[in-house]
Amino acid sequence: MTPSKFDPAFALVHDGLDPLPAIPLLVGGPPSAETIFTIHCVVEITQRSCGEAALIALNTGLDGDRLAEANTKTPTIVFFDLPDSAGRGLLLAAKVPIVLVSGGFEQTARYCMAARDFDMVQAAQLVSQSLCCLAPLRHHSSVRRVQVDRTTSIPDWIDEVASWLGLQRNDWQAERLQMLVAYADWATVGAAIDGIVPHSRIPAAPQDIDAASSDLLFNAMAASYDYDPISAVFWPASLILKPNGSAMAAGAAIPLVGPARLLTYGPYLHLPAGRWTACYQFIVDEHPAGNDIEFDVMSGGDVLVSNRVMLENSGKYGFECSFEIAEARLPVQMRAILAEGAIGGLFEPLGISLRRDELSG
Amino acid sequence: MSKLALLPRLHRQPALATPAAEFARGGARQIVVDGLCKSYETPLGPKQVLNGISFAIGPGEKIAVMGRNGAGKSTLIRLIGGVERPSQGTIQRGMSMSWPLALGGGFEAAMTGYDNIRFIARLYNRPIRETIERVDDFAELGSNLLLPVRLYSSGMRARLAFALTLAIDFDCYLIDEVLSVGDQRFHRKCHEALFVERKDAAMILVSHDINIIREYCSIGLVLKRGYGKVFDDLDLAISIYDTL
Repeated sequence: MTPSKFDPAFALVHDGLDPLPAIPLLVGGPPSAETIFTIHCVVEITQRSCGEAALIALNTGLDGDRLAEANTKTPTIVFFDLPDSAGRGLLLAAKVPIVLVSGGFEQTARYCMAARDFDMVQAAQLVSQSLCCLAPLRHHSSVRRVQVDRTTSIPDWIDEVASWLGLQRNDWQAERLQMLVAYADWATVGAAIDGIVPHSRIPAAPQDIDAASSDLLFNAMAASYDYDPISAVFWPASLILKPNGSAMAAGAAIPLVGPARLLTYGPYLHLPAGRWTACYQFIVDEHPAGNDIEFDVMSGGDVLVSNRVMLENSGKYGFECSFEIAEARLPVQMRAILAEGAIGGLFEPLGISLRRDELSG
Repeated sequence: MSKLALLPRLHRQPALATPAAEFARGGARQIVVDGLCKSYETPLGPKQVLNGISFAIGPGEKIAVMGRNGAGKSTLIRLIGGVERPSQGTIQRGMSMSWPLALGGGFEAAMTGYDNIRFIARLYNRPIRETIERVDDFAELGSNLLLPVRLYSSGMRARLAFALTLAIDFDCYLIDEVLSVGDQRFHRKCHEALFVERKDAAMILVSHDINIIREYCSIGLVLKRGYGKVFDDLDLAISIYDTL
């Protein structure tokens, strides 16, 4: 077998990039078991049909060089899960077929917790980053969106994946049969995922308190990030971090007495590029002397907006501000800072709601 | 000066006499400030300077009062010293308490330094000759004590006030940034007399000097916009004050 089996269209010369004859397919998706299984199958079919195959990641930094290096005689599958705006530009400019695997927030986050030994906050951070980075690709005409159906039979699945590579059954009949034999233990895609991808078996129901809280969290996050487009997001208090790095417990209040200091930060979640309005909701109590609290929004290392408010009465408040997110790959945090020493008072974060005012990127 | 002219001023003296009178009555050996409030009428309406300040100190305890300018520190000292009356709340003085050091007022400006010393000595029931000698020795005002106090510079008044305070030997001293007045030599002398020779006395000390607070005080009262909180952890109080 040789790479010549691939559709010659893959060797197109296109704007901004040299021809990429050795790259038959770009495959991406959130860091889920389904995405990993899909990439696994793409690589295996390429390997069986061509005799060899390589796999490289396209993420950030020097992605153009990576694509050029990958463009050797060895058929190379490029995969991506966190492409920044430059990376997405390269993907679309390459004019190589792009397959984007869909994935839900909760399932992906649970897989990340198991496979990467993440806590629920780390998992939420990674999944939000991936979904926001992938969001601009969802509706692009050159992108094929794929929903991995766990009930699909293995032969159907293999044929479908092969078709993305421009392969018909006749093109690789013998290798296809060998692959079906190799996968004979699994009747369906779901069974194959569970058999091939480590940690893919996700508990069906919460088993303990941590699992129950992650269930609540991921459901809330799914309500924000599983929508298309992502335009209204709520970051619950359990994602807001205390200065010691731990997440806020539900209903927990921070005593304000003490010197000026950072009260909360994080959650280092991600937002698609665009104009956003955020509202940091909180309760303050028992502060007759009043307290100055500063709120700021940061994307990466840049402060996007910063404001200070004097709170003289107990009650429930929302601090609202607008800002522009230029790069979805950079984490966003909203900090609450006690701007001057306090002799009393309590501060209880309730969460941060975000509304996307303009689409961009 | 006629006696009639002096009368209105003498009527103001109960403010200074109150602590002494309360001391004479005896009671628990501590100063208890409870729910102290003070407001002033201004052209813009009543201005609340202090709101529900409460704390207590016993013999030998030293409390630092910290806060930004306008937080109500000097008002609190004047209320505790009896120079002004609170709008609300009580002050129980179970120890003899000085008038606020660094307070320029309280002297009869028309009277000489000597006469003021005699007056204060009588007021606090101290031997007059001994008190004069102690004040003269400490204040180093010499023949200036023969002049009316109105002719004194602010530094001279501060020296006279400080020397008188020390001569009376109070159980508790109210100190409002007194260490910032006078020249360096007098400054050191005050420091020695107050903090070394009277190290067993109680003190309510207003100061912006963190080093002095840290060295001599054991607890801190932080005032913020008229409200206050006492901290047994002095370092915490200082860290709050540092960022007010």
